Amino acid sequence: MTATAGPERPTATEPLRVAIIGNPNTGKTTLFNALTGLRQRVGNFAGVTVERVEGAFRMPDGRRVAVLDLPGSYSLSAGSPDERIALEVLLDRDGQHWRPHVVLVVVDACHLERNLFLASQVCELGLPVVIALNQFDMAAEQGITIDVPELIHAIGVPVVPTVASRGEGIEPLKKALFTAAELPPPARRFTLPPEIEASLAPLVTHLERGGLARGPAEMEALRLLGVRRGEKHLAHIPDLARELDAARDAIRAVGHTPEREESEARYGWIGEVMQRTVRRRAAGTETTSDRVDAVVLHRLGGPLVFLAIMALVFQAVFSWAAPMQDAIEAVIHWLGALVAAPLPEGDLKSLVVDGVFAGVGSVLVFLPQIAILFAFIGVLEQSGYMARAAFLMDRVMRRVGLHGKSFIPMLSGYACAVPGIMATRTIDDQQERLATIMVVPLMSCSARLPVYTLLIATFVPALPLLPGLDLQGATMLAMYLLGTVAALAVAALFRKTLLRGPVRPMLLELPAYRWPSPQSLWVSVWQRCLLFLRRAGTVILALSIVLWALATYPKTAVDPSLPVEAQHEQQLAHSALGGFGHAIEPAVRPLGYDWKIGVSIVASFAAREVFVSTMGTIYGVGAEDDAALQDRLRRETRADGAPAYTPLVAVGLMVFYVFALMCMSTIAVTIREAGGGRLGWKWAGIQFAYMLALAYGAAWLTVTAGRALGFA
Amino acid sequence: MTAPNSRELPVCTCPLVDSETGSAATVVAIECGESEACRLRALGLYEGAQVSVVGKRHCLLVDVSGTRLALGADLAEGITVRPQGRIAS
Amino acid sequence: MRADTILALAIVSAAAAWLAWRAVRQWRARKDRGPDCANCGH
Repeated sequence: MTATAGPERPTATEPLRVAIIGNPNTGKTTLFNALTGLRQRVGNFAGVTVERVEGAFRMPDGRRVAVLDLPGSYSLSAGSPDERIALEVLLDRDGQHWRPHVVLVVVDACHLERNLFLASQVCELGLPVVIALNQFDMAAEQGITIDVPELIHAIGVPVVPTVASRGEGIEPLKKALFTAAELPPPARRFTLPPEIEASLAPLVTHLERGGLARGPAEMEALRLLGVRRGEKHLAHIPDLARELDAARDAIRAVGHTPEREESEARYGWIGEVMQRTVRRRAAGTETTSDRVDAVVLHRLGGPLVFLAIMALVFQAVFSWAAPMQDAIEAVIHWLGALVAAPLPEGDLKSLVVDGVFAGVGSVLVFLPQIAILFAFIGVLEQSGYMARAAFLMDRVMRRVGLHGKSFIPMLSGYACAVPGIMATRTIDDQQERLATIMVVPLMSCSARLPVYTLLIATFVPALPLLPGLDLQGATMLAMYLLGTVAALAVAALFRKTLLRGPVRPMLLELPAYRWPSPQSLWVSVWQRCLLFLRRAGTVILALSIVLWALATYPKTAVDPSLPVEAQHEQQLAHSALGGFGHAIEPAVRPLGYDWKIGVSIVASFAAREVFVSTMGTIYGVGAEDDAALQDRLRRETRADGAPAYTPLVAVGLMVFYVFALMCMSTIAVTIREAGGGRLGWKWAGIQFAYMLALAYGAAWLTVTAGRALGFA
Repeated sequence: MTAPNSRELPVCTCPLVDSETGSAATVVAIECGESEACRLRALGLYEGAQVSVVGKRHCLLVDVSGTRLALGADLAEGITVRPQGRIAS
Repeated sequence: MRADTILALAIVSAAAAWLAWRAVRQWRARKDRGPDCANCGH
């Protein structure tokens, strides 16, 4: 189980296990996608919510390979929880017993020097290693020529040049993985000064007694000279801190600085390797990236570009998706009619039409918007703009007591709060992390999108404002801005009260700009769409059916002389759902909502987009025709004859959804990420309570102020 | 030191934050929190590395062997460098 | 009761039972697995 066992060979029945590791921005995920295609499974590492993506592929001769994508790391001693996982997996200490047969290190050919630091650490772990020399084409463009045979000779492991974004070098790489599994594992290629070696010897022996093999023990001894924090995978070794202090004192005694030893030794060796293998054509110091950055990071231009990109994203999500949504609606309408036609009038037909098709259909139409949003986020990430956004936002973030890096989790929060909260794992400081977790759910996630879309399309006219932006798009943008501004304000509040502490200094790599890989984009968008469809086909389908039942039973005797719509209304009011809605009506009345909206809000706790399907179910329309639901909402009246939904109530309702934490998944992930157990529940409780209070207060304020100003 | 000063100029050092845009320098010492120092070294900014300042805004933009890094002024304050003059352009 | 009403009730019971089963399963597995997210399946 421990690393003493030496490298394992795959048996005839099990697949070859390959772990992929590499610096961030090396095209690691693109390479992973190129290797495995659509055969991927997203999960978590045991006990922590670091995203664990496992994929698989098959060789032409039928041999199977399982590939694990480890979080991007600059070194094995980097501090964030995200990066600690990598070492635990490689030393088989992550508790999942997924010991890799081969480690694939993805190395950026343009930044070979820095990338070889991690590679040289990995090469000492006693596992067979293959290096993928990725972005080989970009290196050539920049005038960098790399002597690959010489590099193989210098490092002592197979090196395969690849261009993952175009799928080049993938087949040789696959073969190399199998070949490497049969090769003896690499070892350290440099020697430490003798006095350092002697000072480290007792520590190495101590680590070996703790169950590490020679190679990993030497790697850990050197690595630990630079870091003082306790690490989980070494926690079982007694008296490690004492041995480490002794080694540091011994090194200081011979006139060296312990913290510098590892980088000096490794970069010293890397420098020699570079000299033998890399030729660099003298190039101008200003690259294309610099010219782009001159605009994108400009004092005034930068924020403008940032706002323009954000506006484009929201306008695209809102208007580009429309034709596709119409097409989906038409198909659902056609299918619904086809299925319902042979059924006799009665409960079954009502279940199919009002329950299944109305419920699931009204959610399905949002598929194009979700695809567009995830495509944009993918482009921003892959192109390298995301790091610039974090850089630009650092100024603002620092003012509210957060690091610029906190902006990336917040931006992911636009897609979904769950990966956003998980992305906070890259933040080293615990107080900063907690403050970020607390505010990520205020960023409007894609599940709020269906709610905003329905209400905006129904109540906000499409008045043109600017070229490419109308009042509907602007309203949408306003909702997102409202959430963002609130997130910043709340973060500042937390950092001044419950989570005080200094802000970590800014330290961020700004990767060179590059064109996103269409294949990799397609894979990630496809994954998200598939998961959304699976939700629609399972949970949302089941919830729609149950909601239909609650809205239909118990049956009541309706007055047949009334118009059909009024009959429906009467039945609904006396159903189980109606009873529940009336019970909570006093609580939502001050916000201008009737019991039907109350029911929808409560039902949306399972998933926010259920709000829309609940409305569809309650009104018995929506699925076959989005326009029908909009029309029905406009005509809906309260008991006193006044319209139930005025534009003001609709805006108030959107404001409510901007702030309310109507999502079970987010609560679950907050509990775990805030420390689990009682601590986790405490922070999740604080989060839910403050967001609900904020939502209720802001919605009430909107409606009250709107009325005072004379809006209906 | 892995990068000896070949020209035997009088050794003068200054914090990286005081370097001007367009100037190159060799890192002499890194004085900051342990985890930041560890991360800086992993990013290629170690004692002996060549850095050049490519821009100054609310943070410092530096080039370390072809990698662009954004460094907070507080962090750049703790990095001592030996200036090497301007980069040829 | 009419046959189609009985069928409708059967479907409703199946859906409710499945939701309940899923909730129980998720609660039991909460220690070693992350939650299912509404949109991205995390």
